[in-house]
Amino acid sequence: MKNAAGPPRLALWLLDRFSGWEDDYGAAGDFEEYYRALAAERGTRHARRACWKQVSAALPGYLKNVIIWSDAMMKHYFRVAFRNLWKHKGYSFVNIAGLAVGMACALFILLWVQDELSYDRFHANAGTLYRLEQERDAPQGRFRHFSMPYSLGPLLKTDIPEIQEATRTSVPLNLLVRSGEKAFFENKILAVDPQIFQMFTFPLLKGDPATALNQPGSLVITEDMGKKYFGGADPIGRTFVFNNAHAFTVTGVLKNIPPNSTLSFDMLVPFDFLKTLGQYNDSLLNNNIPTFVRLRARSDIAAVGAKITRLVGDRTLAGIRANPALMSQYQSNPELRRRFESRNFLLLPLVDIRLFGPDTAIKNIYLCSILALFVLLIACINFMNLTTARSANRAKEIGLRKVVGAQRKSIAGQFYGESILTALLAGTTSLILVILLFPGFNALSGKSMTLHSLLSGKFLFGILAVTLFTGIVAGSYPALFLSSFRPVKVLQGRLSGVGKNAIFRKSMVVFQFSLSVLLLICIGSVSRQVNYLKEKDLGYDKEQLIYLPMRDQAPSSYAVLKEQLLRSPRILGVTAIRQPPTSITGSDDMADWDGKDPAQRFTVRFTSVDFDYPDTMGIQMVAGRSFSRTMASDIQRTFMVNEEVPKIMGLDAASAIGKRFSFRGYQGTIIGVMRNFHYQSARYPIEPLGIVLDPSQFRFAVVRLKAGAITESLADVKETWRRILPQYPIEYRFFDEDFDRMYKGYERMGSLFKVFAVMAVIIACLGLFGLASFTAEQRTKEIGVRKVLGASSRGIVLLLSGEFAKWVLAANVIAWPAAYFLVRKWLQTFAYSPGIAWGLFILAGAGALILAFLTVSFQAVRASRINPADTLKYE
Amino acid sequence: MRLLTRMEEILLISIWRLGDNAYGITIREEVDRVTGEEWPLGAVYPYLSRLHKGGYVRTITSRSTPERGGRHKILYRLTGAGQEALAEARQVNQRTWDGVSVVAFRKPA
Repeated sequence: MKNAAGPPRLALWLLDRFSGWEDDYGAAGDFEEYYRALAAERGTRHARRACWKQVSAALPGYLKNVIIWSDAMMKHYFRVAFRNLWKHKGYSFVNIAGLAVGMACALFILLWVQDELSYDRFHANAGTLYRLEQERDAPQGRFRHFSMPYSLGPLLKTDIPEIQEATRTSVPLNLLVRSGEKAFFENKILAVDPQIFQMFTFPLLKGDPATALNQPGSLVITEDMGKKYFGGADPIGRTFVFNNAHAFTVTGVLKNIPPNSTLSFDMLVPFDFLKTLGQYNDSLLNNNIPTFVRLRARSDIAAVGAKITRLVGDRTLAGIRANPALMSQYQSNPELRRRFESRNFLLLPLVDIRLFGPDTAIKNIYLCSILALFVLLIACINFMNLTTARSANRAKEIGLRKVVGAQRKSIAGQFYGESILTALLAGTTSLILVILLFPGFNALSGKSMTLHSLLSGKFLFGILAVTLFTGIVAGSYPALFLSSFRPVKVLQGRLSGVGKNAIFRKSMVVFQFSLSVLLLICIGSVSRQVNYLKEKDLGYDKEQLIYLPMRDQAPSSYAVLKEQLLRSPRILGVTAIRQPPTSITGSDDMADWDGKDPAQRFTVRFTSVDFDYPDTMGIQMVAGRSFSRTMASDIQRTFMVNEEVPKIMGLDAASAIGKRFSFRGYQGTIIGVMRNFHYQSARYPIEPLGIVLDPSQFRFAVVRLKAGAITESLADVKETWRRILPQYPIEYRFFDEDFDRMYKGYERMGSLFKVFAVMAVIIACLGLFGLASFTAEQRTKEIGVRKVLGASSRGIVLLLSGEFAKWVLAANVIAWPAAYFLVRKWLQTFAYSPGIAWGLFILAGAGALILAFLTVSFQAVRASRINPADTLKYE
Repeated sequence: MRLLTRMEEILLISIWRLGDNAYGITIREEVDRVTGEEWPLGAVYPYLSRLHKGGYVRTITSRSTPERGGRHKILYRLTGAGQEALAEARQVNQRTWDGVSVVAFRKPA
């Protein structure tokens, strides 16, 4: 009641703020009385209005006051800050350059992280799109993958209410594409359901998304494909022929697929084209292609997964029951039953594929973010170090400020202001650096980002955030530490807390050198491992070995091709394989052999080759023989295995010969054991591998060229191919190049590490340089006295550098164990590694020591040369 | 002793005139009356503060009253120094104007 009658509280509070008096002159009471009198006389509304009028009348004067005073102080602070920067140009350069490099580094990583996180988020429905996945028990543990039965997609929409749309996408088809005169092999062709356009945001520039893929023989291509085949002409209505047999008409042109899309393709054809290619079956037991679904809003993902599991389980079981042959196989084979019963369907959000899928970009994101933070932290530490170190020079200024009435708050504010100002200068410099180095960064990271993304609001905000963060973190120590000086002591010339300060500074230097050493060891280990993998003996001779994909109908001409090729004296061997040499991926959990323990489960890799395989590849036989033309039964009825197979059988190589063996529907005996060879990245261990000779499976021809006559023998291969298979453009690849390509990712990682390590070392050295010159300056009098008393220049250099050397050695002691654990953990992800190289640790430590010594001795030499008379004259 | 400013002089005279009832509101009303313009509510307090610190006035804290929302009233009285300063100001004024004819300001006809 009382308050209701009184003036607005806000108004009272504001008036109180504006007046700013410490003593009570009765203003508040007077104001209240004035208000009440007015309210009684002319009504509350009038009184209120009058009251606010009074407040607004007070406002301009108040603001003027605030601005005039703070403006004056701001100008003063800026002037002091700039004077300080200018007076100590060397320090300022070290400070700003160090921060700028650190920030540029952090910005680049921010850009990269932003790009990684942007994957698949451009779809309007990104939040409701999922990829189906399934997992089942396998001998190695739970096995998770995203291949789905061909026929699953259409079932989902009709049987599961939460699923709004579903589309199947084939694995990329690799086809010979011809339009008019132009013919190329295209390997990014997908067969999809028309719903793809309703689910994903892949806009059509031309054509109607609702009908573009409805007719057999319709084809949707990207803008770039249109340019590739037709130049500037309109592609709509043009025709293509795939594999010299299947005609297609362009019904739609897609905007190019953004690089940050996990689903990537150049051409889309109706899903039923797979049936034309003979790549389709109705069985729900087989897993072949990815399937994507769009859920209705607020669906329970786990429940949908369970429903799919039940749906597929029921249908599969019904299918098995209806087929007596399948039923008996199902009942007699525990592995098959286990595989079926442990099958479980899951949904992976589309936007998580990139981050948590098989590529697990999230790990790299964490790793790089930590690295960026480290580099930024080192730069910040330099700044703190230098500013704190200079505190002695500025202690008098602060003492004086305090004497004339500065509060601790305003001194802290001044230092924060200064560090933020420096950070802003560094931020601007770093932005310039980023723009200048952008193309190099793209090349290094393998991304195709444009400067355009630099100008996005998010990124500019990021820059500002990083700058302010750096400024605040870097300014904190000096701001809080310097403002705590007691003026009397400072002005007397006694500095409090300098001892503590020195320990702090030393530990900072130790910390940054630890990081530098750590990074140096990491790059050394990465490049050593990559070199090791590249130079590792693969178990066969990968030099002068090429393979040629045989597409479509080409394998039918393989026998002729082989015979013709071998006529050239420069061609030393020809064979055929089923899969590319760097990725033999077929496998079987149900391999069986004489005397196999039914409780044991093994996965055996599978592939198929032609006669002459070990000879052409250069693989040695450990026992038995290779496939032989003289033995008709060798085709599809005998196996060659690697050394791992006898091991899982519990036999030695010689006694495995002649044993009955069966897998993947092939049954027969083992005739030969080959020496282990790498059939995939040497990151992974060599697993049991079985090989059959099955001409129906040949997809690649392998040719061994003559060393020293590569060009000529390659010309022979080309000439022969053109003669026998004129309808197919020739393609060939070298084995060694393929193997090297597998380690590109690690090499890129290695070069990224190198850049970071170089930056970290530069920043750490800059910091040390600044600190050393400061120390030398601080100790000029001491040096002068020493020289007067007869110290030699050399002795002084050693004195000054020796101290820093101690810190760097301490840094090594910290960095080594950390590096050991990190490197060991990383090397454990490889099946084969040369182990940890202790030499690297010593090398990195010594390198850091030498760099530190060079950095410091430059200052030390200068300090030792000063004439003591100059430094001591005013004592 | 320093001279009073014009505003200080007006305020001190107002306080003297108001006698027992000199506080923020009445003082401002008096100032309004004398100067012939309307001053903002808060205008008098900085001057009162200065006069108080200079020892020209003393303050008396009176009981709180309901019409002031439970806040007490600060009453102002002249001190000896305040009276002396006013007396001197009056002398200065008289000496300043001594012999100046109002006619001298008339515009020539």
